[in-house]
Amino acid sequence: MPIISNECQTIGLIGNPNTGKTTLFNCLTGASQKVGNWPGVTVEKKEGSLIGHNNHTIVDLPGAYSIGAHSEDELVARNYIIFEKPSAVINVIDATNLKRNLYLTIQLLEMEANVILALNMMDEVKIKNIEIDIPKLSTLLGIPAVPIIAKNNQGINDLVKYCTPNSLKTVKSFRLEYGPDIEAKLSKLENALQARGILSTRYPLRFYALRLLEKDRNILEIDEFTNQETAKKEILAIRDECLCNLEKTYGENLDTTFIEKRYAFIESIIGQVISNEEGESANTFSDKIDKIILNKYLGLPIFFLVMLLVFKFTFTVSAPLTGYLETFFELWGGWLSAVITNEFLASFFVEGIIGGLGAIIVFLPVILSIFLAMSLLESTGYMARGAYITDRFMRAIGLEGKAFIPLVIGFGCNVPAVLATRTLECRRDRMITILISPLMSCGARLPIYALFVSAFFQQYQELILFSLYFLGIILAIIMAKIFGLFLFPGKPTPLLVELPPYRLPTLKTTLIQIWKKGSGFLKKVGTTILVFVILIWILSNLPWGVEYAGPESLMGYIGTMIAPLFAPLGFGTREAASALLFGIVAKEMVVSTLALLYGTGQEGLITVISQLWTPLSAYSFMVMTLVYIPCTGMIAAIKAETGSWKWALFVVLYTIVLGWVMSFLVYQGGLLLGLGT
Amino acid sequence: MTEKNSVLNYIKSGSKVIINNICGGEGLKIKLSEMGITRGAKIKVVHNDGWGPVIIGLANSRLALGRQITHKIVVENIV
Repeated sequence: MPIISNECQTIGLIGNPNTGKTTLFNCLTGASQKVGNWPGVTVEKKEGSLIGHNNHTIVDLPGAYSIGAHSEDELVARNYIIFEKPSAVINVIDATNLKRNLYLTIQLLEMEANVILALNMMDEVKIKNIEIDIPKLSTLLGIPAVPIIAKNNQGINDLVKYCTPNSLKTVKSFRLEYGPDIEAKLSKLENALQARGILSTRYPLRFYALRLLEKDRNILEIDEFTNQETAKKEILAIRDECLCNLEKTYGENLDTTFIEKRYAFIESIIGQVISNEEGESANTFSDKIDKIILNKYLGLPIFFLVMLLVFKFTFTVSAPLTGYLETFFELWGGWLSAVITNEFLASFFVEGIIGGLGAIIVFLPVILSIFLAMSLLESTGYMARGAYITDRFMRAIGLEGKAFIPLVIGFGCNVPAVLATRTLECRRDRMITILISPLMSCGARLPIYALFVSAFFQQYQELILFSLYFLGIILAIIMAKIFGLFLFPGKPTPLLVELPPYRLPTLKTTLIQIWKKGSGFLKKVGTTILVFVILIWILSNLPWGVEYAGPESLMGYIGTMIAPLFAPLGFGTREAASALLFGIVAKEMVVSTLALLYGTGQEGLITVISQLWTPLSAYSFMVMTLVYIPCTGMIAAIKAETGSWKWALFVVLYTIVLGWVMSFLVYQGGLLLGLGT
Repeated sequence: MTEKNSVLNYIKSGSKVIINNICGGEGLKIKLSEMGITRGAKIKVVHNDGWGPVIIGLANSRLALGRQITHKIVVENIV
């Protein structure tokens, strides 16, 4: 990559969704990117260094259609540009859709950012026979405009060269006129802001005046105004007076007037810059595919088929990798226990630390595969179609179509399901989906079902399994409605989603992305899981010298103590109670704990269960494992995605209560029906 | 409003319309407008099966709008 300057540079990257911004980001930063969170919010922050130049940072700002700051994403982007003042902002646009993409550009120019226009997807422009006079566009906007094809790495060097301080010095200052009456009010507000001397000259005053007139709620919520309540009130009063005045002329259309004027300006530019009419195109190739994919009758079956394929793909790809990792950790543990002579230390390191690390890393293949599948769905454009197809059904339970995807993912593993809720823009929908995701019966619960089904229900295995999955779904629907009514009142956002043209995904971009996402996620949840595992280790091994998790250990005491709580559910034994406790660490541990405590291997366990338990208590136990407390990975993920322990705790509490109640109903109901033995 | 006006909900697939008005709350009007769905915009109804969300074509882009939204967009057929 060409060097931009000898000094440190920060460059922001912004654009509409589906413009290939991420591909461009990967071109510019390669593997140096880091994923984290913007401080104070749950918006993802991606940063990296320009390839070959460590002192040039590229910051990937959240994709947006505008910087009206209607959402957290947009607010983060805006604040970054105004306060951090990056040396340049690369505005990636989809050149086949100039009109809508330029809206954001106009707003960036009004914010007085140093914008460089990157016209991406020039290959598609060529195919559509659109001719864009790029130099003219550059002149009309007063900023550099560079054609690129990010997925082929074309034009990137030229783009970077335009970020040099020299070429940016020639940027004209931009001004879009809104008409004499509005302009008068803008001047008035600018003077008001300036007069109070609160905002220094580095602030784009005109932009602030515009945002005030557009009734932006966040615009004065900045540090400079913290102890200036009087000044704030005065400015808002002037603003209200201006609005009152303007409403006489514009009426109820005042809000959209600003937007319409910007689009009128954009239209005039496009008229001068595009020679082939960017008309309402005849049915494109994508439209033709959509006729089938979104067909009233075929749409849903095709969707289920795709979901099934996603599952098969994820588990086929990740299973062998998980196997290798598990073996690796076993070997590592074995080696360490041979090498460390002190029994206490050996146990701590092997069962505690390595066991803990293993519990975390074993998630990695599954998470990466699911991310890969999701990324492919997203970049091909199918994800948006999925939201369209499932919208009607999801709305019936109070959620929007896009919520279907995380829930389906939850059937594989609840943890990536929580992460997948990021695509839901509305906090209400995102929260409800996160809260009901533990009720999706995940893959880790299958061994538990397998055990009890083998012991008692061989004949009816499909039926029993189906009933459990079904119960999970019913409970999820009920809880979604309850949470929607009491915790997050309001309707789900109406569907408003862009259907990008079907495109082939670029593998390299996808792979870098998922690796970063996966490892970033693990770092976040890893600490929590490790802490829990060590805690369990302590409880199982102390007082030192006791039989691991035996009746004399702390874990054993706890098991014996809480066992009576499960008596009305049909499994009031120390073994069952301890198994459930271990199951909080990871659901997979329930079966291994039972095997350990009954003193059998996995094979002998089935026989023991069939002798010591009853079919009814077995089913009741399975219901409990379906519903009760999610695993530590899940708890950590919920904390990470909601930003607080409060919600993670809430999920723990509601699931244990719901689990207990459901098990109770099943067991006691079963007894009443005479199904006891 | 002339008799030729209708809401987007009832427009057949393949039709071309011009938007005359958007009834609705501030938030919705602004959100739609920012995406180019403004008064005076010319759009094509790509897919409307009377049941699911309506897909409109705005220049080269395709947007799916829930029926609660399309119910509020007043349009007129253009030939």
